[in-house]
Amino acid sequence: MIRRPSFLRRVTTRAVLAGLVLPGLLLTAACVQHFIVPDVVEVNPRQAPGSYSVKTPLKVHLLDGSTVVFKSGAAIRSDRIDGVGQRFALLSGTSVPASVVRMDSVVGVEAFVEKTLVAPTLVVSAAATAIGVIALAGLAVAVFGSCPTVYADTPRGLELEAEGFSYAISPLMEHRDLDALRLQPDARGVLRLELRNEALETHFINQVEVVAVRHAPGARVVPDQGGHPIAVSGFARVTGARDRAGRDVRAALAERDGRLFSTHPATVGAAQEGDLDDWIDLDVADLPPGDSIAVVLRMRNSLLNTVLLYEGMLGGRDAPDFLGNDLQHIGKTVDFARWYVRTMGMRLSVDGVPLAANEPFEGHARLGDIGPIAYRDVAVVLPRPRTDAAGARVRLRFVADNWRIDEVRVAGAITRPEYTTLAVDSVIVPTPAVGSGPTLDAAAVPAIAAADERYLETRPGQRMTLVFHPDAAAARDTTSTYLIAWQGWYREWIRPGWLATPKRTEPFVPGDAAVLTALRSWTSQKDAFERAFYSTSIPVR
Amino acid sequence: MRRLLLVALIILPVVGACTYGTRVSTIDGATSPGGFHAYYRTNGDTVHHFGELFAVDATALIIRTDLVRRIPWDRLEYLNVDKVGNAFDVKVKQRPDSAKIERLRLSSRFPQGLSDPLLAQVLATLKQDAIVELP
Repeated sequence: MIRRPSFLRRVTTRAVLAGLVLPGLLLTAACVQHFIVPDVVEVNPRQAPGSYSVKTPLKVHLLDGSTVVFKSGAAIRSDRIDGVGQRFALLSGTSVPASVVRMDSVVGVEAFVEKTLVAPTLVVSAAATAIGVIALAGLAVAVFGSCPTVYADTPRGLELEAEGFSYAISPLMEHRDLDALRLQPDARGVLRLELRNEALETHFINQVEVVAVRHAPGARVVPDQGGHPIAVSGFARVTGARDRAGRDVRAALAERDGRLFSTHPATVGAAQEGDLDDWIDLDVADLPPGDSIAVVLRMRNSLLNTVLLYEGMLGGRDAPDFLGNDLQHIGKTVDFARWYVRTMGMRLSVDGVPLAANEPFEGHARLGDIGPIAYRDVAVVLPRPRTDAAGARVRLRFVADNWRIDEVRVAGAITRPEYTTLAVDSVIVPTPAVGSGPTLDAAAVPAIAAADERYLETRPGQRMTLVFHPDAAAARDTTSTYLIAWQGWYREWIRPGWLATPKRTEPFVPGDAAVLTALRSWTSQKDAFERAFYSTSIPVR
Repeated sequence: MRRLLLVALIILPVVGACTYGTRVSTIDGATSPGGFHAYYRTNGDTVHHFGELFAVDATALIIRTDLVRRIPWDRLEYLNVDKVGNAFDVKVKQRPDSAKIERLRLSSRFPQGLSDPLLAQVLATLKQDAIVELP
C-alpha cells in the first residue's frame, strides 16, 4: 500500500507551521531556542583598522604550508596575530605552541563561526530545513515506542536482525538508522531480508537499502554514533568496569553471551528529580597509537521508554490529540526533543578531555535510544586524553535502568571504510491478502528506493521479503559486512484501554518528574510487563 | 505584527537560551590544521568515499582519501560534508554555485590553494608520485 502525499502540500504545511509556530515558540518558551549552524568566513587582516579580537576558532595559513590554530580565537593587529595558538607543520598532527604570528608570513586567515538561524531565516527556510534543523540537534531520534523489525532469511530460519527508527512517532521525527547485519548472501549470491510490522502501529517507510562494506580481516564494521559505517580493530584490555553502585561489572560486559548489564536496584531506588542517572566507568589499557577510541557496544533499551510512552505521553485521554496535533508541530517537537536529548539515550565522556561549553547534553558524545526489541552493535568515537595515550577512562552515563548491555569493548584503531549501497531489487509478499501464492509488489520497490516523498505504508501483521543482489565479487568475499540503512517514522495506535483507564489526567509534561514516574512504575511491574511485551507481538501473515 | 516584534524584543533578552546545532568547537576541521571531512561519490561510481577536503577551486575539488585525488565538479555526483549543515553540501547532480565553492574552499586544509610547489611538497610528504586525476 503506497501513500503518495502531495509534495506541495507537505512543503506548504511545513512553511505555515514554521511561520506560525517558531516565532510563537520564541515568544512563549521558557528559553529562547537558538538554532545554530557552523560556518567559515575569510578574515582579511590587512583591511582591519587597528586591532580587533575574534573569539571563535581561527586558522592562520602560513607561507611555508604550516598552519597555526587559535582554538579560542585571537587578537588581529596590523602587523601580527596574538593568541594562544598551536603551530602545525605541513600535514603534521603534532604541534608546538605559537602565541604570535607575524603578518608578513601569513597567506590567509579564516574564522569558524556559529550562525544563528533567527526567526525570519527560519520562516523562510523552514520548509526545506525543518527536518534538518531537528536532525542537527540529534533530535530526530526523539521519543519512545516500538518500530518495524527486519529478519534475516538464513539456513537456520528467520533470525531477528534489527529494529528501525525506534521512537520516531511523528513525521517530524522521521530519521535514518544504520544497523549491522550478520546476514551473508545465500548460495546464489542473494541477500534476503524480511520486513515485518509486528506492532499495533502504522509504519511509513521512506527508504531501505543495504550498505556493503569490504574490510580487512579482523576488523569489525559497525555504525558510529552519527550513523556512518566505521571499521574498528586494535581492541584494548578493559582493566575495570564499575557501575554507580560500585559493582565490578566486567564479567557481564566482557562477551556477547546474553549475560546483560542492568542497573543495580539500589541505584534505581535512589533516583530522584535532578539525579536520575546510573553510570559505568570503564578503564582501558594497551591501546594502539592514535588520537581516538571507539567504545563498541552491543545493547538494547529496557522497556522503561515504552512505559514512559504508554503510561506517560499516551497515558491520558488527550493521547490522540498529542499524537495527531502536538507532535505535528515543530515547537512541541523541539520541546520534547530538547528534553529528550538532555535526558535519555547514553552520554559518554573521557576523563581528562575538557567538555565543550553549552552542549545540550553532558558528555563528549551521545547515543540515541535504540529500541527494546533487537540488540544493536554500535560504536561511539571519542577523543583520547592525549595523542597516543595507551589508556583511558570513559564514563557511560544514562538514566537508571534504561539499557540492557551485553558487551562493551574499546577499539584503538578506527577507519572509515569505503562502501557501496544496494538498492532493493524486488519486494515479495509471501502471503498476499488477495491470491494464493507469493506475489511481487512492484509498487513497493520505487516507494522505498529513495528517501523522497514516496512511502511504503504497512499495517500490523504485514510482512514482505526484500531482495538485494550484491555484486558477485563482494558476495564471494568473506570480509564483507552488510548493514541495513532505513528511514521512516511510525504512528502508534491508541489502545482503547489507554482511553478507558487513563494513567494520568493532567497534560504530559516532559521532564525528570515524568521519567521518575515511569521508572517507579516500570520497576514495580518489570517482570510482568516484560513477559506481556515480548510475548504479544502481532503475528504476521 | 509590529507589536509582536516589540514584545519579542522585550522578552527575548530576559529569558534563558537553549542552543541546538553543531558547535564549531566539536568540528575537527575548525580546531585542527586539517580540512573538513566529507562523504562523496563520483558519477558512474558505485562506491561512496570518505576523505578530507584538501583544496577547492572553481573547476575541481581536491580531496585526500587513501590518495590525494582531483575531482572536477562535473564528475562529482554528490558531496556531504560531515557534521555541518546543508550549506556545505553538494546535492546529487547539482553543480555548486560560487558561494558554495567559496565555503568549501575555506573548509579545506589549503584554502590558499595548492600551488605547484606546495602540491609537490604535499605529495612528497605523503609519498605519492602524482595527484590522481579523474578524467
